[in-house]
Amino acid sequence: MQNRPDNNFYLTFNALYYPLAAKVQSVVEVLEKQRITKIPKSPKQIMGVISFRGEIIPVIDPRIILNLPIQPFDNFVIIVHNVHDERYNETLTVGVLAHDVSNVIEIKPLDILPASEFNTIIPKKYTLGVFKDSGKFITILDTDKILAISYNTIHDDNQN
Amino acid sequence: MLEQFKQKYLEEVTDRLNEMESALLELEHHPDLADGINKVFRVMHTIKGTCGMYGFKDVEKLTHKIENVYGIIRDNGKSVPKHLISITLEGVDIIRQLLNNPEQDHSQTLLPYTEKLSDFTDDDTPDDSLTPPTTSPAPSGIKATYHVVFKPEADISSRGVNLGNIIAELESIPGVVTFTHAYPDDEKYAAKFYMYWEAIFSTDRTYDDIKDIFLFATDEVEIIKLSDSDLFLNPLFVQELQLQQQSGKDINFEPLTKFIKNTKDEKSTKPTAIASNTEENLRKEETIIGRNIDAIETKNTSIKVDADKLDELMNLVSELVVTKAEMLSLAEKFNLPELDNLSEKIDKLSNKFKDNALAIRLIPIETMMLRFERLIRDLSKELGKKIDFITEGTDTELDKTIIDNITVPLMHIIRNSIDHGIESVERRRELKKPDHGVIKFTAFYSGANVFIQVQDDGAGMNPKYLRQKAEEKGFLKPNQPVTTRQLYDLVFRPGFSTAQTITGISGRGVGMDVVKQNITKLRGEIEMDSEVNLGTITTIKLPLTLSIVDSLLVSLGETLLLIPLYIVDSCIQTTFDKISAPKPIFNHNGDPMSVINLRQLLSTNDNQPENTTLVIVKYKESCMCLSVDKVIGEHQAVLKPLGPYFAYQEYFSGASILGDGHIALALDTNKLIRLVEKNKKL
Repeated sequence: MQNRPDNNFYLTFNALYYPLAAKVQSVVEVLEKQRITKIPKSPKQIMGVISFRGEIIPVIDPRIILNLPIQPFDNFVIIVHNVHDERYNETLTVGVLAHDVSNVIEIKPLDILPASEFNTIIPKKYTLGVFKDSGKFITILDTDKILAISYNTIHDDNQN
Repeated sequence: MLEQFKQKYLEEVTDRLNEMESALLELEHHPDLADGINKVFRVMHTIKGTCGMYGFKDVEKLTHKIENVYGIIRDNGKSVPKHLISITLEGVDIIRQLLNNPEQDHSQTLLPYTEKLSDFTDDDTPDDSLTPPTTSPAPSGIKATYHVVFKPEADISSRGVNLGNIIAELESIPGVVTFTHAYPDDEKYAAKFYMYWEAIFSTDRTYDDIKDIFLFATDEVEIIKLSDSDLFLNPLFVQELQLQQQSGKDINFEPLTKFIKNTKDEKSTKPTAIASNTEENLRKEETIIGRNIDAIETKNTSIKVDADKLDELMNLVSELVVTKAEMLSLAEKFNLPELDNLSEKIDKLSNKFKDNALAIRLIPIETMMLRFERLIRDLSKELGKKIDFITEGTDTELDKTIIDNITVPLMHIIRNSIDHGIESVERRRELKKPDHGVIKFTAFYSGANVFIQVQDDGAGMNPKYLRQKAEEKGFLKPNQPVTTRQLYDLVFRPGFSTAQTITGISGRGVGMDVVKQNITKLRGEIEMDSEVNLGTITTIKLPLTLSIVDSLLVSLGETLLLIPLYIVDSCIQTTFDKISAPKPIFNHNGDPMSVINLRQLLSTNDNQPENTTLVIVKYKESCMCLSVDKVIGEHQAVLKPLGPYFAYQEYFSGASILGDGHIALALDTNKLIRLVEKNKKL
């Protein structure tokens, strides 16, 4: 796995006005703006559900989890990820809301810097590192962790 | 090589034996049913004629004996004596054993068994399995005309099928006109035997009888009924046939059609159209000549498909349905008549496609019933109990995997009911109960689940006795407070058996825990309820990951909800000022019903309109009103799970993708009402 060439490729996107990137392998598809069906009584970070390839999948607003500022928006895309859930040892398909998708770029492992409070506002535990593209810092997200954690916290939230 | 065909052969024989078993169970109630007697005779006859070549000599002898007995009954127009049915059923079991363990020495079971049988034969027919094949006499002398195309594969002889016999039997049909063809020398016929045959004949034999000639080569033959009448009565038809026979070419139906025209089957008037060798066609033929296709017989023609492939198919179908909906709205937008027509066609096709794809995965619970009936029949006889078996909702469909895995646990539950539940006749008389005990099997849909209930009117479980047993076995401390429900749940614990006497059938303390494990594996639940001297009811709740639930589609602002239709009583339009506050009660024709305001409950943000529609749903013994904005219509919902992200929510059992791509949420009404009731009490 480590030697697979696309291991070094990242999808960069805008999490509603904040530059982010995710490993290309975990991305299944980028969907156009579409109607998201709200599920009553859901926590804030869950936008609702959409139908994807015949299944119902949740759509997550990453800003809530990542503590990003909430600004209104008109257009959006949904980046569909496959994430590995450790608790149930299965793969979950989850949609993540983003403003738009920028590019797929190759980043050599050497060019990835450790995340710190100087180069990203995202909590370090949710990142795989940071890289510089055209003079701008882009944070690489650990999607497995974010989506698994968001899912776990949902269940913990419910306890209260 | 033979081994591989042997497996297929065994499967086929198993299916035949199942058919025979169900015919026997029917004969038990109607001992003079000619069809049933014939069926037993035919199954025994065909097995006898074929099992020899796979080395099952004992089976050959045994089937011969049984066939003789039924031959005598049939020829004398007698009815089947009651005790013969038991003996024959026993014979079916022995045949199964013989087929499964051919190595073992079965003479211990065989000898006494054949003796029992010989009581039914007047004189001992010589044990000669080479008697010419007997065919059942047709109930009437009316002849029909058939066209048979037999194209054997090249490996036919190595499979142990005797080609010579087949052709000889075919040619022994009186008046038959056969066409023997050889394939041209070409690569593409390499998989075929180098010759093939066509035959046209009229006979009073039934379709099945003709098919039996080609037993174990049924995939290589097409049997087409040309006409319900005897076309050979027309000399012109015979003349035309003979002319064609001399030409040595394939039968040309063009000049023959005018003779066949009077038949009702429109397919037969276009013989070229029927030349496809599909089981579908064969089955249609069977229906035309009025034979009952056994549910089991249809299963003969099934193929095994990887469940993943079916899932993939389902997903593709769902995508297609959504894409289709997009196209429909486009067609509407541009108002192109051609596009309209086309999209309408695609709409119809994709609906059919969807229904088909869904139906592939689902099979009715009915398919398990034969095993249960047999179990109840045999066990009640053995224990000297009288038991009626009542079934309800056996057309309820479940995913095949679930059916496959639920049969054995259910057999165990039924076995418990027979053994421990239903009392002996004497005991029942003491209790002033009817002699016949009742075991009732019920299946029904509820929300995203299928419920299966097994209920008996027997002794029930005594909580006192359970308690005593639990303390003895150390499951409970003396004086430890427990509810009756908790006591019943102990039954599912490993090593807990309540049978006062251990019988060979049940009561060894293994069983209910395994039953529970199996059901949990299917993500189902099991529960028992009981009343002393009234009986026990076991309820199994199973998920239906892929079942269709007929639902009422309603809206609440932008949210679309599905309410299972079976629970809906009626709908009433009204205004909120008619609902009394603070306790929301609606007075429906003098009948006060409590109202659940779904908008408040689900806290959707939009404004409450003045008007509302109350959906009256049945809950327990009474009714409740669910207030929604609008009723949109009925919807056949394919329920999809919401997935682990939504495991926290309590009101929805799943969601369904509508034709236009919108998602509707399926309300778990029972749970929802229960939760509301509970909160009221707090």
